[in-house]
Amino acid sequence: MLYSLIVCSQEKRTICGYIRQSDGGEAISGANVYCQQGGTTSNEKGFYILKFETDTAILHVSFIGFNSVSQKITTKQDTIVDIYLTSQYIELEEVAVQNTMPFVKFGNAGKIDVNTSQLKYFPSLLGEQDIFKYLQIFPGISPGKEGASGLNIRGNSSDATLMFLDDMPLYNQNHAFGFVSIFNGDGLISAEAYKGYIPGDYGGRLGGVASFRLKEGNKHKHHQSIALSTISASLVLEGPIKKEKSSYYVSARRFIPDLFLRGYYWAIGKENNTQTLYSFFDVTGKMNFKIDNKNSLSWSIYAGNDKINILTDDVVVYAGLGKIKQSKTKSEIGWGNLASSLRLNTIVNKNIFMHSMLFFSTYASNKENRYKNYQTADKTKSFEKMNLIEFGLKTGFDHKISTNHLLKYGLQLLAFSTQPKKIGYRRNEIKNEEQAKLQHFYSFVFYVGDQFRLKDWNIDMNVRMSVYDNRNRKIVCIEPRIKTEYAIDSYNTTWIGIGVNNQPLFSLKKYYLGGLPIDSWVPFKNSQIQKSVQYFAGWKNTYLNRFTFSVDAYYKKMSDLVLIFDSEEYLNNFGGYNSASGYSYGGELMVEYLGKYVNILASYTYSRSTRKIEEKRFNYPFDTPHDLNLFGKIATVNKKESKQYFSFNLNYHTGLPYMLANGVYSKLEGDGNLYPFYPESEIMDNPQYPNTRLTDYFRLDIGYNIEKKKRKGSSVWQFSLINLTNTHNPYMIYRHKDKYKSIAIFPFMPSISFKRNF
Amino acid sequence: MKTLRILIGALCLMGCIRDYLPEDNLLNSFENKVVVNGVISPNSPIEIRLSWSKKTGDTIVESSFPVCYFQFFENEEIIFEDSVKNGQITINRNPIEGKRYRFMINLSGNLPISAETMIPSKPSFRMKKILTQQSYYAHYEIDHIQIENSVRALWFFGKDFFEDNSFEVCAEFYTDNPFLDQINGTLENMDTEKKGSNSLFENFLRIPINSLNYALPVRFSVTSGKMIYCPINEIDYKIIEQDGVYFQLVAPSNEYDQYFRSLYKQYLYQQNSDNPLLYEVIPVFSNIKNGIGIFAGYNFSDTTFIFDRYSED
Repeated sequence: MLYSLIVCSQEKRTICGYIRQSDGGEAISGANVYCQQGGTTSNEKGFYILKFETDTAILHVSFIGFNSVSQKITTKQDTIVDIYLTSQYIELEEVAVQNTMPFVKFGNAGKIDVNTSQLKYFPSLLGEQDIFKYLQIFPGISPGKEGASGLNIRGNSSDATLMFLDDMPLYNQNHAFGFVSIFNGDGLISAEAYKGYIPGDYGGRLGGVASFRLKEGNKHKHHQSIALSTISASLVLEGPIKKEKSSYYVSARRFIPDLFLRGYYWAIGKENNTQTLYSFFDVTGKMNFKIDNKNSLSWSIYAGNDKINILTDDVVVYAGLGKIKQSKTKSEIGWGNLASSLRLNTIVNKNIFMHSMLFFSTYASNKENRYKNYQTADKTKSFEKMNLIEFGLKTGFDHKISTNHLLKYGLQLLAFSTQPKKIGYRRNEIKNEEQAKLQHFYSFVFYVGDQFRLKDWNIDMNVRMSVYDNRNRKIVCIEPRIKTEYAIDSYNTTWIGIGVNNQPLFSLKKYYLGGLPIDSWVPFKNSQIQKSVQYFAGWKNTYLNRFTFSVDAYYKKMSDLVLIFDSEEYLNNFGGYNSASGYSYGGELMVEYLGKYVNILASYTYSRSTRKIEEKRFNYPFDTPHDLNLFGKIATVNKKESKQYFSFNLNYHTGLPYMLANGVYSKLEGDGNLYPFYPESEIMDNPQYPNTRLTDYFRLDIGYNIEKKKRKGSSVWQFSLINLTNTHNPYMIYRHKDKYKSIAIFPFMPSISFKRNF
Repeated sequence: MKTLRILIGALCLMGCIRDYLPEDNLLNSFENKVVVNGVISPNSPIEIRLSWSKKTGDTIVESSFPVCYFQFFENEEIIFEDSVKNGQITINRNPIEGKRYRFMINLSGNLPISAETMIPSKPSFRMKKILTQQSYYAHYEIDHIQIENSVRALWFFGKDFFEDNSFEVCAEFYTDNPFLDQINGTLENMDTEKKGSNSLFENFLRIPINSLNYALPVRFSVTSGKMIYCPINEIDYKIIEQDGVYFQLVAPSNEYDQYFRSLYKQYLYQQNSDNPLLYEVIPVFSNIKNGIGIFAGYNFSDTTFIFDRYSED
């Protein structure tokens, strides 16, 4: 698509526009746009600006997983050019890969760009396409405990990873107690993880950033799909609202086993039975409007929730009177996210691209008990709630100064408010409520970044100035970050850099609600803002968009860490935390090959992560010295009407640090024996810090995908075998009758999923 | 909640349990530590016991504790010092509320072992029996508590006593009062209408001091009117009926509160955890410098209720 825009200087032409997928028109971020006189990379919104001095230029555009495009541009004016790339996976047999002019791709130091189209081939646990589990196969990202859907980046825990969906921060990252990510893999167009150099518009976490983008929806035609996995059912609707101008995308997913359980309860009759039900759901939606050639608007929403319901009806049968309902008891524990954003992208002029957004994000958990006695008309209700809400206004500018010089600057205003505890009780007319003090937190952020390219050199730097205000104290944090990349030749780049990050929010792990561990977040107290400085370097070889080899190394030093071990005590200002420092370092290797029939991604990470409390240094619970992943996909049938793929995923890593008691001591006796628990056991002398490791982890999963074109749409079956070797990977160890026992969560486990596109 | 745990466990576990052999260096790195057990209150003379911790898996045999030199201080004034044998220290003096107590132990081959605590003031409370007996459950209400603000929480225990002077601890309290610490609270829907609640608190109620004003009145029920079948010989037995129930409201020192709270968490989430998702390794709080265990003060008030005889009606 080519059309003229603005008449401007005769010396230099400016070309700008969006890089999009040919199939559906989704924007592609991180694509390389290059001509003889220089190059650039499309930003997070898929927008690029390029300058050249002649009337004619050959534009090369490439992005991993897509066929490269070379387009001749002849113009005497500044021009907007939207360029469409075709997925290699869709057109595998029809389009030969063009051996285009080799290019140098900058801007990926310590950054992971995930090709989400590969996600459907990944052997799936319980049939769920889980983007988090797919990200975990990349170097530098580890899952933590068995089966967990956390993103632990470079030796930090998952609460140190800033997670965005369409630039909305999300605070709850998992469904099903951490085993399933909150995203329906179907709905994502891209996933990026920043491990080393963090762009100026991101900050506030020590570990890194994971940014996910929802599909914009097909701008040309309507599509629907339904999917069934072992544990959930989902529905996707997408299409144009007005062709080429606006589109929508809606995805909804729900846990289904509880529906069968409800049927079972209904069949056996609910009287005098306790029904215990668990379920989750999530809904994502997005609408895009192209207002005119310069402005586009998009609205995104995410809603997700987990819920446990326990319901009891007490019915007594009296002779001659029949059944009489005595009482009804209902208990509910739930937690989830709701977030929404409105974003405006504007081409201000030939040199400036502006992106602004307004968002809110909430995370809440709730425990509620209701009781009604039909005989005495006695009614009680009690609840315990935690909630947080964040509002934000962000605006940023990409300002092209010259062909090789791009300024990025912006402002962010964020208001965060949390109520860690709200308790209420009502008995008939009596009402009593206690609220923990609302904790407010504001941050004002200004950042400016400069991307400068000079022949074979690319320098990215930014400074982020944040004012964090918890209403008791204002703290100014300056976070300078810089990376320098050097193109050795057309295929090889190397880089070195340093970055500073601060974290003003803390996650309260294992905050118990009705006996269940729920996460919560609170702002910093006093001046306890966690800090880190990371030094990183790397080398990357990319050949013909097919083969990538990269090596990364890093050293991260952390200070003023707050390690909370008792959330209740921390909230009540009774301590409950340790002040610590720490460091992590590591080396990461990755090899990726995207062939016509075979795709391979192999990664190896050597890393260490320790913490120090007072003078005691110990391994951090996410310290995994060796982490090896191998994911492969092989096309076994590759016809137009039918395609079949075999896939495998192998994961080996060193066992996680663990705390295990090697001593016991006697309980109290005599007058101190007021406590009636601990009837026979001794007290376990658990260490304060990890003192051993679990055994090494090994898992091999395989999958087989069958895709068939139907008269209308297509169908995809996926069969997965998880833990093919039935390896016993300890999830936890406990002591039982003077012996240690280990429990593994996932033994050999088959799963199946089906998807039908219309 | 137990049902819930079983369900979650069944859904997510589907796995296996195996014997586990820890790394050699873990077991070999075991070192004996001095264990101090001393919980003191104004109602009894000071007693402190010293022992050694044991390697996991070793048969528990109380080994004799060597002679050590023991000093005991009240508000920094020494009130006892002597060599003690077998780790048994008894000081014929009751602690006094409001005072601080400290000890120091010199044991050959060890660094000096010490700890300190204080005795909180005595709490006062008023409670009454409410409602008529609901099947096996008796209902009570605490409508007034007075306590100094320096304590972090109040603990409430109960004991059933019987006509033969034996007793049992109250293993379960039922209340839907949400202002209590939920550490030992679980959902239990059986007999809700008789218990007046579907929240079960095992073994004790803990009221955080910050929530005290909101928590009052605390209504709760406990099983009562019990009959115990006591075997006389292989054939015969006699029925012993419950005479009443004894309640104790404990004002703990900070050390006592942290120790028992962490001890219970260890019991609940580690030793008694039937669900790996809830499993958590909990170190038990200790205020003993160069040792483990607890030296903590507490104070309490109590009350007794005498029951009517149990009736099938």
